Amino acid sequence: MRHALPEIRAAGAELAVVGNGTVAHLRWFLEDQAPDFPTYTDPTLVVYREAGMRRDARAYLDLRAVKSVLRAKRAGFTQPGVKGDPWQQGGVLVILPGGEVAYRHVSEYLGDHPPPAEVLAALRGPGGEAHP
Amino acid sequence: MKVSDGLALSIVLDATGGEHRLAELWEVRPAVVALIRHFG
Repeated sequence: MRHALPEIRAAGAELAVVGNGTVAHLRWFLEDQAPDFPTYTDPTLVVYREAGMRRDARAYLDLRAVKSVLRAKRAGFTQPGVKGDPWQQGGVLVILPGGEVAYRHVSEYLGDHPPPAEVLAALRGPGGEAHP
Repeated sequence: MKVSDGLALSIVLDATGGEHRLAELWEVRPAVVALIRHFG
């Protein structure tokens, strides 16, 4: 999602990332990645549960997950250690002021990310304009 | 579909350990909330 940050902001929105490690893990992430968007953590996993995100090992066994891992390795990405819950899967929500959920993507397998175009379309609304 | 109260009232922590209600993220403008699998 961070690659779509300029378009997200151009649509009048903000990107926020929530992880699930400890506060120390969050600090490591901020130092390592230096994100220019707000980043938080929820070690209790309540946010994930309330958002309906998956938490199981099947996400790792999906053939699409294997392909995703191989693709990431070929691109030079490595994963030195898990800083958070190893079984928790993620997802993306687009939520408008007032609490309307304009978009929801629940990751089904490792590497299942929503197409940025879908997220941006949800931000822009049916007429292609940013939500007021 | 409206966000559930349970999600809106969920608490997230910042790097200092400070608590924030998740709903603060979309109080004044739309929010793209990315729930990541883990840090690192």
